[in-house]
Amino acid sequence: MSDYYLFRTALLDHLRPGKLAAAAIMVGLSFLIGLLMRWKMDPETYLPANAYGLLTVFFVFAFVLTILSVIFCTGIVAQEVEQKTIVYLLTRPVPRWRILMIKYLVAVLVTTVIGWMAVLAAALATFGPAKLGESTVLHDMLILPVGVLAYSSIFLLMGTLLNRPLILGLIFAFGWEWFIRALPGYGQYCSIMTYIRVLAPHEGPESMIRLLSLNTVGVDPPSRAVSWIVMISVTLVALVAAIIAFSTREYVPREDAG
Amino acid sequence: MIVLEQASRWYGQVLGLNDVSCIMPVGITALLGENGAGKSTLMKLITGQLKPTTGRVLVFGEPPFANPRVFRKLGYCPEIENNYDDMTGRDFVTMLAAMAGLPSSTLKSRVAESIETVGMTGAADRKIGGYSKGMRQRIKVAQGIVHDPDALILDEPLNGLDPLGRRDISTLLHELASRGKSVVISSHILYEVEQMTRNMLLLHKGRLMAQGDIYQIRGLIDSHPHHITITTEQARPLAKHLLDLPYVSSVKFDMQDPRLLEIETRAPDQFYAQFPDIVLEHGYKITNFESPDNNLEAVFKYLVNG
Repeated sequence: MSDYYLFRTALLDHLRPGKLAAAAIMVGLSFLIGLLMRWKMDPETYLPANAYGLLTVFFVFAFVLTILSVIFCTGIVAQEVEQKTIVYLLTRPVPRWRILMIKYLVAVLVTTVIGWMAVLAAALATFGPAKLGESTVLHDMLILPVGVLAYSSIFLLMGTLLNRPLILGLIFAFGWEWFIRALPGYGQYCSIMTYIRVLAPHEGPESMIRLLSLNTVGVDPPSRAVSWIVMISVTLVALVAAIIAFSTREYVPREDAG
Repeated sequence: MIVLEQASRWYGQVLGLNDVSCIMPVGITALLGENGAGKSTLMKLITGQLKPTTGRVLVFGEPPFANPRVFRKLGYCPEIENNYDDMTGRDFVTMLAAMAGLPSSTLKSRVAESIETVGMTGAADRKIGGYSKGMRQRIKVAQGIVHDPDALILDEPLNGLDPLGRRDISTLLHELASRGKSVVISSHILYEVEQMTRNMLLLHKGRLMAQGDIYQIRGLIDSHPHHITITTEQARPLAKHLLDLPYVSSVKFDMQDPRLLEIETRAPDQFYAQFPDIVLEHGYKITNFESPDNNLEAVFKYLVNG
């Protein structure tokens, strides 16, 4: 019963007009960029799969997925602390790990659904409605939750450990993730996005993707097996660490301490 | 029910609570102190939001930090005004009632009952964001009592309430106490606390200055004479009689009102026992008799200011 109400409350929080508008903008942008690519590129050389691949890799996975995961998951604890409503949650007979897990799963669910819509919008704009069922599209939709789970668990961990997790989360998502892949050698192995890309490859001009991602060094990407292991491990380790942190740390609104 | 054993709590270099040992029994216990005295820290320790740096805090025999077994029997009404503003009052109480473990079969009726108890039935289906301060206080109390806890902790529960609201909450707390519950309230409005309970814990700069019955505590403060004011038309002859008593240290006349006497005694109990006999024997007409020292504020001033 308590799980249902926690789930419902968390879900309703994500369905507030402001958040829905942000989701609509993400999906709308995915569609608009796709349309622009289709219209502006030379029809002779325009390849829908390439356009879709670029859009999915650089907008949906690298931006929509990460920004939503950062905002939703760093806020799971921080928002409750900031609003001081954490007091109500932590003085009820519900184990802390359950509170955290329910809120995490809601964030993952919402991010995944918005991500799926962005993938579909990208496919609709680049392929056209007749080819929405392309195997690449379906495959992206299957891998997207894997990426969401991994990123969300990392940002959840940040949210349980840091007082201002949003800024560090953004630095990680748009600083570290891009910077480390640009480093020579095996730097790309330290980026979650590398593994997502291995799991959701796109046939498009791979050289262009590599150039745009600044990954100019000829180190082989990790194998699919390694990518699965890393994604699952990162998700589990970060989740367990977040649960331990949330179950043992004190969360008291700062100005109330005294 | 609630026990602190040499509990201290540091916030980095700042001492929030210093070596406090006390027991909060069944009935109403008032937690008093100025801002920064450690009231909130003590409440957060009891409600398991903080862990003591040293010492122990036990609620129903167990440490409360992240302990669902304790929270099942504990109700908490925090001082914060922030609630889930997008929720209705009913949804807010329902969510927290469900989290408190109430079964679905009784959830709705228990929520309605607790909302009615705090007089919020008419506004329960409005969003909390539109509530006045007093309404927020009432709905907070509703969520605190909805699961019928054995101990209820209320941080400044009377803040923002109108006189009627204060009376209602006060009556409710008395009812809970009479049903064998432990009720701990913190307040800086001494007068109102005094109307609710005589059992108090007085904190000052993180230390427990005094605990127990307010009158007993007052009686133990020997270094401060006990003041009594008497209004009578026969002030002078009464003053003479009172000065003959060995435990009356001084009698003062009021310059503005010649009917008013201010007595100082170091043995108030003896004075109270003998005074009616003197009055009856000599036929004095007493129009007013009061002791400003027998209230909480006086005790508080004595203990804090020395």
